[in-house]
Amino acid sequence: MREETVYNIKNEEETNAFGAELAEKLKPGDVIAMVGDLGTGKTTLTKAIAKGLGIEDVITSPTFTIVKEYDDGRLPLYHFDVYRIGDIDEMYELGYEEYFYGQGVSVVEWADIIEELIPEDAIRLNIEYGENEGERIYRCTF
Amino acid sequence: MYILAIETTGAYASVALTDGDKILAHVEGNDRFSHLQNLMPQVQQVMADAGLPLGDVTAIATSVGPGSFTGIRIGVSSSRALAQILDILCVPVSSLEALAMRAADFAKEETIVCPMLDARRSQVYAGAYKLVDGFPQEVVEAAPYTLEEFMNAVDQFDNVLIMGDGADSYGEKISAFRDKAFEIAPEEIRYQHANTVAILGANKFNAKIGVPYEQLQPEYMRIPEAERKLKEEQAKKCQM
Repeated sequence: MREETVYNIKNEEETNAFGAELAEKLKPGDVIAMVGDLGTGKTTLTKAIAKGLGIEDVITSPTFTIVKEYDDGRLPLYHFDVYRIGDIDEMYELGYEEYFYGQGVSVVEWADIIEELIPEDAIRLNIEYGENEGERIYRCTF
Repeated sequence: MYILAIETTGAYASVALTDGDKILAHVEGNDRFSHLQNLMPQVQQVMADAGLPLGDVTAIATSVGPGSFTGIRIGVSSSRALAQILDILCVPVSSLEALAMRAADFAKEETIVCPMLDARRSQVYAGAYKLVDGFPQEVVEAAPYTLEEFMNAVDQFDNVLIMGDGADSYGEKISAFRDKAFEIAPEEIRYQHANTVAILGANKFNAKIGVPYEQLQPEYMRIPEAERKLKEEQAKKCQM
């Protein structure tokens, strides 16, 4: 079993630093499976990762499009928000295989909704609220 | 008779034309998963190479899956469109059977050919075939399996030849599930190609297995949802 690492994040600067560090390690075909309640900052963290990949386009939540592609960084970024996926077949219809197993990095918000499609070697990232305002706990399995 | 064959279920799309006897022309793509932009130009190129107008094509043979979900959709919908405008029949061909046929010159008589396509997460779309006069006879049902299930199913055979991208994804894991020796097909014949789709398609067309375009159906070979969830839960329990 892979081990979980816990990060206590104090503020948005630390989120940005975490995202930048993670982005440096990413390679083609990596999938980051994010799980966390509304407002825990999944999209904020995705923005930090995107910045770390050198992406300058503005990252906006793909809630209505399910996936958005960003091609101006070190690696292509495929940003998924699968909150509105009703049936797993929709993932096949939008061609998830070409994204997850392609040449870019996939970040998946609400990954637990499509658990059965998340690759076995995906980076797991669970986000929880911390004790104080603005604090977060990241539980990561790399 | 001219059969135009389309194979888009793997990483590289290919198109071939046969007169029912030999391959007259074929072309294969170089870019991974770029079927949508490559397929129609490939069709044009094959017809040009053969020196024939598209209107001379008798039927379209299509590899309908299993394989890449997006690739299957592109192949089936493009074939339907071509068949509709040309007013000709479609011939559905199993990607696994056509792939098995690529081993015809390579496999020994007693060899059981096992095309195995990566269905992700240690699962494969696979079947086992004996080649008789170059054509595949199914000896293990083509279906979705976990790698372990499939290796158990072919355990009864002494000589197996593994083909397809499953060999790349699970090469090392295969030996864990199989005590007997096995062989992996060399790269030149390991993956799907329209040439064997054409030959098998022509054979099926002669056997009157042609359908109107609207009846050409994809064969995704997906495991039913309920079954997938059950397997998922069992897999989780194993990990604990």
